[in-house]
Amino acid sequence: MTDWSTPRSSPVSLKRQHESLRSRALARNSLVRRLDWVLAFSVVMLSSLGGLLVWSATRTSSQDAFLKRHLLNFAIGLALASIVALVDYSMLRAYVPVVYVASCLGLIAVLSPLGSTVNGARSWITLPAGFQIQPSEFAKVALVVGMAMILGEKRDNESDPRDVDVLLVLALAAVPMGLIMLQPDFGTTMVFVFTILGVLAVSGAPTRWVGGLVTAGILGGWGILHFGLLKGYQRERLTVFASKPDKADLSGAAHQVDQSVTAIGSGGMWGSGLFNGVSTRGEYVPEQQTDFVFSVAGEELGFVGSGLILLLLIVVMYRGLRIAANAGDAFGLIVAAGVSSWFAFQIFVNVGMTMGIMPVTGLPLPFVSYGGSSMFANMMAIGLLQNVHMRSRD
Amino acid sequence: MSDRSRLRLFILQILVLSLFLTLVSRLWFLQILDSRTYVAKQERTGKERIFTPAARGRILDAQGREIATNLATYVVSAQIKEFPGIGTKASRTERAKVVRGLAGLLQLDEQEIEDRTTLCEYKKNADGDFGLDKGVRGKCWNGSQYQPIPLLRDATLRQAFLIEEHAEDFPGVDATLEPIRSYPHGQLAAHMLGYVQASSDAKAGELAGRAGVELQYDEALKGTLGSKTLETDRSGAVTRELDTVDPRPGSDLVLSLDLNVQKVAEDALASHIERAHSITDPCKDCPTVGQKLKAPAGAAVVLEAKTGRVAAMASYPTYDPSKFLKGIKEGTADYDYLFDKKMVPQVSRAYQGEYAPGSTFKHVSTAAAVLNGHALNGAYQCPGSLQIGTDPKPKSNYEGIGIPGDISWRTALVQSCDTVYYKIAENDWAADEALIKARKKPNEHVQQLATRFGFGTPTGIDLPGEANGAIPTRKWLQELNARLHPDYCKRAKALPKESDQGKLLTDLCENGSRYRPGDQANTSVGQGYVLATPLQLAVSYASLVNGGNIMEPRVAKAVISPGGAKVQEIAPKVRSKTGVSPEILDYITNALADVPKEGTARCAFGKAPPTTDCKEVKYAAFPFDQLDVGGKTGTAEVSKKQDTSWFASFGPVADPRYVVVVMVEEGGTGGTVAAPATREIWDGIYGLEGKTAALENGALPATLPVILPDGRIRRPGTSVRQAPPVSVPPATTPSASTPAGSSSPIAPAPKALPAADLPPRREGSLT
Repeated sequence: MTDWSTPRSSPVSLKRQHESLRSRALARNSLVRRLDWVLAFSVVMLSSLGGLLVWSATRTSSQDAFLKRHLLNFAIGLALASIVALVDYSMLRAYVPVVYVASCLGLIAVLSPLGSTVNGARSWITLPAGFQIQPSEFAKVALVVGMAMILGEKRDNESDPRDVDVLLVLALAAVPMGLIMLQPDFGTTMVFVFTILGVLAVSGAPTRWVGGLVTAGILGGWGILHFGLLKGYQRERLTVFASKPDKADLSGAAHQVDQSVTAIGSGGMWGSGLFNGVSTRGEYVPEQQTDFVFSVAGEELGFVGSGLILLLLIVVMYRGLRIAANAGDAFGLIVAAGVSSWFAFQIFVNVGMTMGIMPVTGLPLPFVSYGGSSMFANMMAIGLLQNVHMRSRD
Repeated sequence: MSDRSRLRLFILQILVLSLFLTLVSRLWFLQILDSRTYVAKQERTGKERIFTPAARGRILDAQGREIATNLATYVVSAQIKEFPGIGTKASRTERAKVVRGLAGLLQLDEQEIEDRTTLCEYKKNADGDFGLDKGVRGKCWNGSQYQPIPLLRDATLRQAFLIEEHAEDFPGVDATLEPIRSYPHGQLAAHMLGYVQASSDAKAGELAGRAGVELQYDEALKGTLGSKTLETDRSGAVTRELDTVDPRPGSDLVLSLDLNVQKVAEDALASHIERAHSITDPCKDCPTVGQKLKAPAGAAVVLEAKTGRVAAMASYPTYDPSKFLKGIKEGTADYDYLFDKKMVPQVSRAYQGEYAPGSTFKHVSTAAAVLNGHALNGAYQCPGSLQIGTDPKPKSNYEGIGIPGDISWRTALVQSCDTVYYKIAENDWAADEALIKARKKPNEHVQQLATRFGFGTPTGIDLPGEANGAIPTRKWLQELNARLHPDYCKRAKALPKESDQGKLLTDLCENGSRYRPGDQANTSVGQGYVLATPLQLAVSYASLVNGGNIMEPRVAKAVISPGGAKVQEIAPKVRSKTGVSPEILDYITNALADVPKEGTARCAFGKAPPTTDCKEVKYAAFPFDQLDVGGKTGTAEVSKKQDTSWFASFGPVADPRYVVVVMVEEGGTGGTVAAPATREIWDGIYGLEGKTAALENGALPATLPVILPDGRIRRPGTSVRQAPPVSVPPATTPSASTPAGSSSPIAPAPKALPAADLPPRREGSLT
């Protein structure tokens, strides 16, 4: 029988236990102390705002189903980030080849009968129970850590990478890039290009390589457009931002951009209020919960709200680059610079596309857009940044 | 970390920062600088406004009787969003089936339903079009696709019932109760009321006045449409209502018209026109001698002499204003009647028809002569005919009958002797020509005075499309000739010179602008180029008996806002004064008082004829002891037609209250048709000779009818307190108990608008 009159533990011992927990947590070298809280706060804010926007974008036809999924994705993402942040460097380095090979296998699986096509690109693997995985998102993480492994090993003695290292990096990137181009996913390919450039530049690779790659990138991009190497829909999506919307077919990408620009423009200074946007409620902007989620922010939250989102995004960037600058070793520098380059390019292309100044590519807005694979990959990248931060010099 | 890395990291930071600045500035541009453009654009794509009809104001006569009102009728309309389109084969079949079913049930043409349910501009959206063909403008629906398209405006209860019962057979089709214009008295007062038609800009059931007071006071009558702003998604489905504005009913319009008097006037006109068809044309020297009178049309005007308010105004032939509500299709009997080019039943001959006034114009020429030296008590000659200038034929009196010896102005008026006026006209002409030779302005006495009596310019009545009439001065003739001269000459060339028409046209071509003594003679007896509307004549006779005021006639008396809250009176207006002395006016008035007793209208008023017997018409003696009526006959010659019959009258002679003018086209002499018709109107107004009086004491009400807050109407002079209890707000009680006959029996504005007297419009399936 339970004796209700006696407390199971004395209040004094409980208090003491708490004190010791707090003091440990606040100790000089504790993880809590060493975590980049500004970065963490920004990411939580962005994901939460993203949840509201995804909810608003989908509640007309799906009530709160997308909101729940978004929050679940975020929770899983947080767990992934924590794991990545807490894993020891050496462990991380050891896993790099596994991560790299796994993502390459994933990209191959996409092209196999396992893959499914969405919006013209064969980017998805459909799993049982209605789940879908987009391996190209994880490939971004694999690319960053892969490059860090190659360039980081050599950098421990503070010497700049040699030509061989650069060629190794390019060879490493070539496999996933090639697979992604086969999907074809032009946007992710461009993210790869920009990330490689950023990493090579920051790693201190010879200037001729950096300059040469920039030139090659520009020439390559021009060539792809000029010689019609892209599929019709890709070409249209890419060229839409340069043409007048009224001339283009209103049912395609031009229509999407036109509606998105209208939605954002109509928001004005204060926006129509959450759940109150005419374009959002009427689902006028296709993909407004994923790639075009910024149009929802623009319409419903106005310049103030969408400006806040941009501000939070630049905080993430700034913290990323700061972590790179303060990284304790070359591996940390490359990882942080790689993640920052990736995010910077993806954010600019995504937001620019919703405002009609960048071509339409299937890139989501990190943390804000709905999408599991993207959320997981982004959170893993944040975990990497935190990991580097916690092991930085100060 | 190497310095190179540090530098490149810094460059990367700058690059990232500049990318973000680019995004923020673009955001600023879209949301702050250019926001208006996008708000407007979103308005076009994501919002739709649909309209709800407002009840049109009623039109009441002076006694508060409803002449035009609204009835709640079933309107069958189609919602384009739910009506089958013609996109797919299946929907085409479905559409054809529904259209066929509707055509059968509503008794409409299949093609008509097909046209009306086709959008003029179909909207393309992300999902492509809605599967509707672009229709031919005018036939297709030009309004919003969210607005119910009316197919039949006065459906029967059975039709409405069947539509609702078999909703599955008629997808997107609804029968809703809506106000529709109704004219409970049919054709009565049609020309003054005018009519309404569905507004062309395709807003919900809005009616627009097209003629008469319906057009003149359209702004006050129509009220304000209600509207609903709908938010739509990209598939075109309505997601919610953003904002609803209730319709505001139009104001009621009170006319000075009395329906009883109007009925008397219309009946008298119609019956005497009918009677005229069995009378042989009394004109002995006309080419139509021996024929019956054609009398195809006519007009009657009853004007309150002192105020210029219209008590009644009739035009024959008339029409039913409700015919226009449904729209009139070409080829139907209604269309053929309403748009007959010869009969023009839509034209009010009372104020839109121009006619030579004939001898009814002599009050002007007499006054002009007296004012210019022909003494009121002078002696004048009345030969049977008179040679004027170099005219080929001498001008003669009616049937060439003269009066021997000296005659007074009174006799000249009572017997309507033309030659007295011809002589004076010849002298006037000569004097004017002398003035012109001396490079001075001609006097043109008759024309000048006629203008002062209101001829030649519209009277300014509150009805649209009034005719000018014409008073020929030398200048006027020159202007006319400048316009017509080339045509005269062209036509003259085409005709043989010896023919009568050829001679006339050759003369007009050569001397068209010459004002001859004969023209002046014609003008002095209201012939030749002189043209007047019956209303102009009535206004001039009113000035004769009211001391010389030319009144601007008014049909409307007041505009009363819904529930009687605000009353805007439409006051009569003295437009100008003739400036003729009371002595002359009284003389002419008294002389004309004898016309029905012993003059040219004696036969119509039943007095024994001293010179000829009244063989065509036999009437009992008019009770002059009960109502002394004076007037002037007119028998105006019209080229190639029978004479126009006129009678312009006033009464009671001692203090005239009304002027009654009747005109019958091709009605023979004034005494034959117009005078008896006029007599019948007087009988009807005052209740003489066994008739029921149209007006109590023969007077129009001095006060306005009262509109109660609930929309009910109290007759003028009724105390509101006597009315059964109505919810009058306490604030209005003091003035609500204003005694009868008070000049302002209208209660001040109640706080809230009263409920419309229509059942509320049932919501469509949209909401």
